Amino acid sequence: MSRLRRHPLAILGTVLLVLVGASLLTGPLGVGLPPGVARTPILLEIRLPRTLLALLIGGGLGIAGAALQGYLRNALAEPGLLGATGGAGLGAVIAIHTGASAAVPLALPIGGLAGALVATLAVLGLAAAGRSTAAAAGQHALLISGVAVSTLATALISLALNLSPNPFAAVEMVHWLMGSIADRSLDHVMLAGPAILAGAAVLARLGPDLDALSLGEDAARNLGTDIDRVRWLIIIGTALVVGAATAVAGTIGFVGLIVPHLLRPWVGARPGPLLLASMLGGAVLLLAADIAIRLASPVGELRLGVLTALLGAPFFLWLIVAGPSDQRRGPLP
Amino acid sequence: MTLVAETVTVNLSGRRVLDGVSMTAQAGTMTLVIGPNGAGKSTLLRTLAGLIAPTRGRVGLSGEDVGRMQARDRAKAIAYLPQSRVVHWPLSIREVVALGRLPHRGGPSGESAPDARAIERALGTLGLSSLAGRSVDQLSGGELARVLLARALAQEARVLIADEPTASLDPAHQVQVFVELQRLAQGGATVVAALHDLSLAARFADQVVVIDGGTCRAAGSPGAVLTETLLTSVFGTRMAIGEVGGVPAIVAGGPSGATP
Repeated sequence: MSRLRRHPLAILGTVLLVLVGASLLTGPLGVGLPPGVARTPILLEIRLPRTLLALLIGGGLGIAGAALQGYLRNALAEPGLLGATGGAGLGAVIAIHTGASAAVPLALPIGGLAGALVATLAVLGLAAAGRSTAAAAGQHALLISGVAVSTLATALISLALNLSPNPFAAVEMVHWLMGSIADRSLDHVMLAGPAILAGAAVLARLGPDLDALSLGEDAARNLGTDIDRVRWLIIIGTALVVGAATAVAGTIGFVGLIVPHLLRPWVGARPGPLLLASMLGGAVLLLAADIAIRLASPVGELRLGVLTALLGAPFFLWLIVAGPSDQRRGPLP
Repeated sequence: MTLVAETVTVNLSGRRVLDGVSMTAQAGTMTLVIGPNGAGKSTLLRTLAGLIAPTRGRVGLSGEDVGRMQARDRAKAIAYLPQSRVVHWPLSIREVVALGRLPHRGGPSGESAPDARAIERALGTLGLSSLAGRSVDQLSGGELARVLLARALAQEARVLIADEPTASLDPAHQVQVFVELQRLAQGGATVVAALHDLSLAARFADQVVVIDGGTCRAAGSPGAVLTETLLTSVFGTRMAIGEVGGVPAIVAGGPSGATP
């Protein structure tokens, strides 16, 4: 056990490599390489994009969740809290509603990215306008702005569903919102990949600042942390990751919330080292879930976002009721 | 390093909290700030530490404007211990103390040998070495206070500003903390601390600064400043000053507890 404790990154990395192999070898027809002439196209055009998206989105949501929990010093924070998930969902739904997604390839994810951008700009503007001189005001203004923008986006998504031009469009919207990485192409990877990687890179550098924030804002500032800079980088980093992830895959909940939770008893509660571990852990979780879906429902109708939420919620309750004591303690601000 | 406040005025949310406060804390001395609740002691300390920009006036550290220092340079020069004793995650004692080394590190790189020595020294000074692996959520309030002070000591700054470092400590640990702060000052550091225990202030201060209603009522040696007249006027209750076993003792309320 002590050796296991010491090398979480190496262990998570090894598990991830094994899962990548399994993901490339798993299809709706079972485990193994696809037969004959179809081998290369199936590997490159179906399984590779799916595997890469699981890595990017799982890893991105993991590190975004860890970073946001560290910044807010609240283990219940979820990366969608800052509005980018709702914005991306709304943008994609509008692309379906207007018929753009049917007419133009990739209009759906591009609409999602645009929605995430608008929502994030709104949160930035509101948070900047709502700041005052009180110590924690920046944090509260940010949270309230994020919740307000998310709520508005959800309301507008309902409106789009309500006014959908035909039942097929409504079904398409609902299915898309459920979250999935099936039937995506390398174009989707190229669209979301750079944004997710850039966001993860921004967040990965915040480790020491998030560590310092464990002692509160005044102590962190005394240790050289620029709180305003950290806040902007958190907003920008999570928006890039979550916006791009939601734009290509729909809403995949609970990964960003649960992965840091799961890893804290193993890696330690310090927010800095938790960042990279959560990135690997998020990728492991999403890839495993996606492989499970392919094996469990070969027809491919169980949505990834539905599975993560379905497994995530009861598991989260179990963590709180019966999990390790430092999870129950729930360090709230 | 000499820490100087020059006619510092601070407005917070439109309210004037400090009004033209001037004071000097010399290297190698301990300056203790006293005054009633809400007088502006914490605001003065946060301003001295460069965490609040004064509305008017300036804070200088050996001639340099604290407000214009790079955050990292300031973090190496000034260690600040906030009044609120909070650690948001169940870190180990050693992890908390190690946070004091952040300003000395280049990015997320690991701990250097000097870092490790500073952490061990700080733990040893406050008698925490044997507890280093314990999680801070298993500590008493007094133990947590010592852990957070150890974090500030591990910073190894030439200036230490501590806001009520002995609040919620038992009498023995209060004296222990001030003996350590005095040793730090005698080693050449500039120590500034706020506290409510006037007997400890009288015993350990090289300079006492009295803050009342956002202004500096008096500053000087304990003998000169801590008079019954001044304390009675500042705290609004009768204060008795005496000596017990060669140690100064200041008692509030007088014999009957009546206000004058």
